[in-house]
Amino acid sequence: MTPVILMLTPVMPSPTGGGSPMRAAAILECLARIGRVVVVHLECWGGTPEVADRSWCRERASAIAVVQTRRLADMVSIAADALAAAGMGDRVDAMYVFRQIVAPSGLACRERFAPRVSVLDLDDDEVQLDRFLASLRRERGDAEGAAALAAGMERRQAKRAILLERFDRVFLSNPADVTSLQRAHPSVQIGFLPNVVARARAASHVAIDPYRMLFLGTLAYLPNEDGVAWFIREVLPLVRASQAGMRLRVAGVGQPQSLMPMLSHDGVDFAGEVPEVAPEYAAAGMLVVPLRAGSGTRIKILESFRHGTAVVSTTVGAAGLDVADGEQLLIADSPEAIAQCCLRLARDAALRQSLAARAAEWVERHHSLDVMHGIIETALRPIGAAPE
Amino acid sequence: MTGEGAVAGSVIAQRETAGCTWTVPALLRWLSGSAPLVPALSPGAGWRALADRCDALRVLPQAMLRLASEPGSIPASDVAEFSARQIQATVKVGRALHFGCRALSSLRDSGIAAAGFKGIAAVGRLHGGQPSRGLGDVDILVPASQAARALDVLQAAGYRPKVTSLGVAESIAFARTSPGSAGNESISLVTDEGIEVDLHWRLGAFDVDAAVTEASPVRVLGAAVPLVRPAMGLLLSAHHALRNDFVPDEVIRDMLDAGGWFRLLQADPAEAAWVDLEARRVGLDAACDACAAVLADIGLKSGRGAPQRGTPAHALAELFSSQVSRPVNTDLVYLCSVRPSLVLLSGLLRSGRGYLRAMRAVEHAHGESQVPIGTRLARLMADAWSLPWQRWRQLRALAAAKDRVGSSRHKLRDADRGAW
Repeated sequence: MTPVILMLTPVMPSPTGGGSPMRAAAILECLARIGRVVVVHLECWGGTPEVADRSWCRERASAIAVVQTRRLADMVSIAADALAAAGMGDRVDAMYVFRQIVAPSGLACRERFAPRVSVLDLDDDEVQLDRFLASLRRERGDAEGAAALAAGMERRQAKRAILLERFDRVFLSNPADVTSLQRAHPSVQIGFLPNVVARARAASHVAIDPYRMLFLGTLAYLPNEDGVAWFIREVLPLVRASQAGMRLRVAGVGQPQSLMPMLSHDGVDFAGEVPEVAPEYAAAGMLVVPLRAGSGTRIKILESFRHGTAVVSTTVGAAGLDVADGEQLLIADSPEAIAQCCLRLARDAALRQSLAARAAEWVERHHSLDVMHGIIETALRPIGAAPE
Repeated sequence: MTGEGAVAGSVIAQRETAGCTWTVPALLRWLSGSAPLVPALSPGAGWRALADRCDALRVLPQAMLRLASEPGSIPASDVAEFSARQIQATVKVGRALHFGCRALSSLRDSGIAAAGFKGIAAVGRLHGGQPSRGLGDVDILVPASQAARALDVLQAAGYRPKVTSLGVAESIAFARTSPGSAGNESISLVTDEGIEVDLHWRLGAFDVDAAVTEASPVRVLGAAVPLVRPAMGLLLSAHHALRNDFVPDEVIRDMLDAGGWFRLLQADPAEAAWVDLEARRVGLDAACDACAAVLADIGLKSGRGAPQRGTPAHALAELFSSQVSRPVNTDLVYLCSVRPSLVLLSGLLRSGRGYLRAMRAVEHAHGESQVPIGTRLARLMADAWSLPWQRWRQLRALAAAKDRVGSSRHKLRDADRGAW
């Protein structure tokens, strides 16, 4: 009998857009290989952005239920209705809960459906992320916001300790986060589930502009917002003073107010939401990842590797990926060093090509869908896999 | 003799020893885009040697930009090193501009009218506010009546006098009686990071109050700062070239800027007409025409006619050309005019040994060689003996032009002097 898997997620899985929807999409892809999946999207992080490909999710899931925030209390019965509508009755063999925010709902579902295996995928260490975000807010003069985050951090840590014990398996996307969390919770089975990106279709009709620096990411996410602002303020003037024609193209969901005036600076092209990322990668000389805070791993770096676009990243941006400066990408942290890397890539086609070739080989070996599928299949082994 | 007119022949000497033929006119042609680099880069005379030469001439950012725009000039194996060096140069200029803009903001916040001029004005008006022009320090102009307060404000903001062995009053008094100052009065300040900001309140015969009033905001590194008008930019480039005796290695940046200013003025006839009037008033007409002639020689149009043979402008342009191959000892200028000697004498009579001590302190702070006076005189006599008569004609024109600018017709008001 084909196993039934209930997937709870705060984002609609989508192979394009932000990092979380992309990871959710990869997970759904893997789960769909194992059994029949019912996706329950709890809108605690807001609705589905326009850019998300809804049909993609429908093609892989047996049923999709969307739970609006005001109906979170009815979440279990909505999930039950979705299972029934898909002809599965009340049977749930495995439950996959994506992100800590929906874990309490996951526990409620576990009580009702009693799956044989329940997995919690934290993706990144949100407590650690809050620590970074608090320091960012402090740096930006938002002492109140920083204090509120710091206060919430303890609550979240305590809550997480309770939640983790109740899942059979916990995943994180950054090996360093796995180690630190495992040390704090030795009785919980915590493992590494890498971010993955499927092979990309090349946009062969697009010509590369080596002087185009691309930033791609959810702009409403504070580390991205801060990184873009910092790049425009500190790095871009150096780059443009050294090479006429260098421009930064910013693409992504969200328009944070503090960032908008900077996006009209000389040398910045704001594209906003883009329906397809392939032409963006194809036209860019490089992807820039100027993050100064964050946790987990940057799925955009992997995506760029898949598209054959060279990457310049900060150490924080490349965290969690087993990559080396000068091997798969260029890593630098000071504005001067980042500017140098951007200029090198713009001017040296051979360097761009060699980095891209090594990165493509590396991402296929460590961050392909097959790698993720292997790990999830092992975690769900007690329920047995469906025949391919 | 603060070294303003001292010959910096070392760069030329090194270049000749190395057998390299990147003369200043060749570099001017290349940097201004009017001709390719001659001789072209080759493995024997690679980009590093060119960058070193341009660094010594303080035009490295411009040279790096130019090199970057020429396909194939940088071998792939050198791209990383080249980019690193370019960014270093850009960062250095960017840092100076940052502190210059900060100083201008501090003055504005204290209600003191001020304007950036020379390098920062060229960056703002000719380079789109980007740190792509060589810059050693940032020059700020304030009305003489505001100078004392401006100095207090800048000191409170972390800018301290560069000459530490002299008091502020002594430095200012020396500036007034230094023959090399050519009617300028200023004080050099430095930040803890070593960035130099020069605060000026008198510039030869220029009407400083008007220059500050007529300044307008221009974006530099993204921030709007007041900069002198383009016409003043040109006049001050010519003024700086004159103060530096049209020594090619010293004035290459002034010539590049002048090329930019002339280009701007060609699009603004009213501003260009004002330049002519003001240049005559402040005694810079010959220097301006000489700059135009030098630029014409390298193929750049200035909108001005070529100076007639026998005119001071022609002699100054000749002085520039003749110094390309052999710099002249510019101390010889002091033999062509009594004015510097009188200025020097008045300083000595007023302050005696204190004047000489101030001279040495200022020279030391500016990293200038302190050749013993006896040696300097002996060298002067030897050079005077061997100098061809055509060179004397050029030097006399230089001395006369400097006298005109130095003998300010726009005297400081007593009230302004009293501000100190």
